[in-house]
Amino acid sequence: MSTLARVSGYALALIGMFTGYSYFGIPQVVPEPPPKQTHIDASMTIDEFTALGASIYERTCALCHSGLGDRAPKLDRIGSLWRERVNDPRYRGKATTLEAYLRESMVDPSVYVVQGFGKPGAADTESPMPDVSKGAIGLSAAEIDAVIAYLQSMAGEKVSVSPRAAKPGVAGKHAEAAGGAGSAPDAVAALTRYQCNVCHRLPGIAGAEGTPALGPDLRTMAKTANTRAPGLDASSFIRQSILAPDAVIAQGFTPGVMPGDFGQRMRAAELEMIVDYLAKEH
Amino acid sequence: MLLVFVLLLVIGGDFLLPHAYGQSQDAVEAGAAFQSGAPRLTLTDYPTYKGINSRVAVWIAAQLHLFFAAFVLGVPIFVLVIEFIGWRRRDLRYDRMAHEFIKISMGAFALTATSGGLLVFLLVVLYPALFAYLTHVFGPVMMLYALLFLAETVCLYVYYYGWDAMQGRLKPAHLLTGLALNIVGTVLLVLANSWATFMMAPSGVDAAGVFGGDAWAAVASPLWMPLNVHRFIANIAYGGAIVGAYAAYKFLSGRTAEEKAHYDWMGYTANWIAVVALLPLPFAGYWMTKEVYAYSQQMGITLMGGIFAWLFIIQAVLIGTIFLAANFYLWCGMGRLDGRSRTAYLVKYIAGVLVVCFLVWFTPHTLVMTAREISAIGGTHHPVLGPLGVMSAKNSAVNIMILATFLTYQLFRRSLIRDAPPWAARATRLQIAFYVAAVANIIGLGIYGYFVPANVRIGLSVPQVMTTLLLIVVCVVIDELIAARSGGASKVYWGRMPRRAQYALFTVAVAFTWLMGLMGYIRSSIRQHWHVYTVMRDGSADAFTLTIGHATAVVSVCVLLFLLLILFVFWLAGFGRTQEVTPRTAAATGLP
Repeated sequence: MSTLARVSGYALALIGMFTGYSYFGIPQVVPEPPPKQTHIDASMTIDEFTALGASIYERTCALCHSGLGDRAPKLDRIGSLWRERVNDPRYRGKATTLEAYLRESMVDPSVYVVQGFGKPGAADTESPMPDVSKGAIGLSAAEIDAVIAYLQSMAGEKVSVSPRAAKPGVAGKHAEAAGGAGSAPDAVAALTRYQCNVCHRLPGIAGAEGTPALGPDLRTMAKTANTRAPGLDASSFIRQSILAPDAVIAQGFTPGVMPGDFGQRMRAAELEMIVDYLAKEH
Repeated sequence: MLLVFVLLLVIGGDFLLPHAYGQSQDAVEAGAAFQSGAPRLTLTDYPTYKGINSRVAVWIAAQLHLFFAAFVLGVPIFVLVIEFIGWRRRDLRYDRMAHEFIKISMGAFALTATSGGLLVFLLVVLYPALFAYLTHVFGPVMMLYALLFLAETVCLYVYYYGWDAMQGRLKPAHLLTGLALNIVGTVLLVLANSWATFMMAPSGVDAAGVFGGDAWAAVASPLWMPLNVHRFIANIAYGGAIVGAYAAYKFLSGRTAEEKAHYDWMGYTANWIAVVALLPLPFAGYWMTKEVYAYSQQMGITLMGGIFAWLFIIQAVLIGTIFLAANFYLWCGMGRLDGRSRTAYLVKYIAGVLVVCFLVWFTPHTLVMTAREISAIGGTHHPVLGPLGVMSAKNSAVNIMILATFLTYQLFRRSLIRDAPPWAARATRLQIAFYVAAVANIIGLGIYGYFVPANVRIGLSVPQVMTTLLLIVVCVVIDELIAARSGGASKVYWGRMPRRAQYALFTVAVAFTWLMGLMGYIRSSIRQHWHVYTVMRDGSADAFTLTIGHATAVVSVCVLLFLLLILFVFWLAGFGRTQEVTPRTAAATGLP
């Protein structure tokens, strides 16, 4: 019996030692809770949407796309690299814009594998990255848009997606439903809410006379917008003008007059409604 | 008990289970036929009982079952080999030892079935939706499992109880029974593995979990074969470690010199089995990890680069403990020989090499750190020790640890040779040259690994392993040639071992058990918040990863319970000794 007691005591001491080491010798990292489906609606501002994309990216993508080790390429220069990648003979996708390239890379990563980052033995024709819309990652279309927004912003490129873009064709017609709480119901209401008529003449809005010395006449914007900035179509130019008013200054007007904080104040749905509204001829 | 549960659930599962878990109507409807795939579970799909944590309860039951199952499946493999050697050599000592090994296994067999029954019961009661889904996919496999369990029981009973009756002319038939026992046991092992690997890397179902109807496709998950190989080898090593502890216990409590001699020999053999089976385990582990990465890079990174990376530091401590304890036992074993071995002075160098290699293996690479820690270290890796944390260094360290352990064995075996032939000195110098070349090659490949891309670096582990294995084979062949041409073997004084050496055997057994518990936790928890990875999400309140301390506390509880039960088995095995072993001892006149 004494042997049994001694042996039991010894085993107990060993178990205690291993347990103690695991408790006190190893940092007690508290793991992150399981990811939840992110609530996205069109009432978010572009900045909120981009910040959401950043948090999804940090939680889901950054472990590999961090530049540490050689798991996956860094994405900080994606704004300047994507063109040469889509022109590479190895590219098998259909993207013609950065947004399309990023979306394609997330849901079908093997269409282009950056040299040295393919699966072992696959000669860089097959990516080890999973389709982020499926499986354990399982990002929704809106979450993918948010990540695209973040990556575009991080690369210093124009953000071309918004919460509304997650449900194409819906928000424009049913803005109130898609816009969520606090969003203006239509473009005219949004233009009024943000007092655009104080400085601009606006199409189709009676009494929107503006103050000609402060802001350009926007009634002809639909005809001229696509020629104002090289490489930008009408919608993109209008969007840029709202989010970064000093990017292109119309002749005869002064930089710094129009507030630069509409990105923070304006709901994404409202922004897109205004862009659509101004881009159409009335 | 297990059989009854499995049969009940397999046969009655379709109409029993959906009602059993149906607190949420949606889940009931989804689970009734699983037409639309795996059910989406909510909190209401998990029955709760006050004072019982469902996850921990199932965890403990599953781990205990795995401990016992690993033991009862591993032991018969080497029992059959030992019995065969005894039969061919007409040496009753082997026969007696094999019989005693299987006797311990018999005691554990009942506990395997009991813990298995408890596991099934808890799964049905606490995770009915998951069990229903697994039954839906694996129904025919579970049926086959139940039938094979019956066959395993029959084979084991015939093998054990027929041991004395099937001597002499009937010995080949007895050996064939042992072979059948092992074949059935291995099939049971791989069938049960398929459920675990399906949960990690589901196959045979689509992205939504809709089962295609092909049970074989569900069984043949990408991780199935690596897990089969890993567990098969680990079971042998584990069986060796546990019977080594049994032999140590009997040695310590033995009263006569004959008893001590017998159990010393048994302990030596068991330790040899454990260590030899342990040697290929790291490579089986690499294969498993490689396949995890190939299946899902995200899962692989979770395993090696996230919070679980710290658990591999604990793993290094445990394996280092096993290697050091096993080597210490072997060094003590030099005392069984007459006079001081001429090579005894090498022991301190071998110990030094083992410690250095252990420290390299112990060095972390990618760890979860706070910003302050990163700032204090000056980066994400330690500026000096960081390079030791990569696989190039670790692979080299593991291979050299294996070679050092083999060298210890070799020194003992060479010390036994008496009147070696004149060319033995030249052969020894050749062996030394091989050792130097092998170590240089392993370290050279390790250094080369720092200068090549990751995919090439991973591939370098293959020539490193081949170098190790080749050296072992070459040295064994040379030693056998020398032994064959020698004047005989020196006398080994079995039983002339210090008591502390027996505690080294206990250390191996406890560390091995703890290691199995830890690695089982890692393997299972890299699914994170999924019951079936990517297919069936865990909707329970426990769908989060535990802190390391919490997880290892549960592992410790499992180990403690297992050791208490196995000590009970040891005690039971001693009960039968007076009636059975003593008469056989008289026949075994040629005790070592």
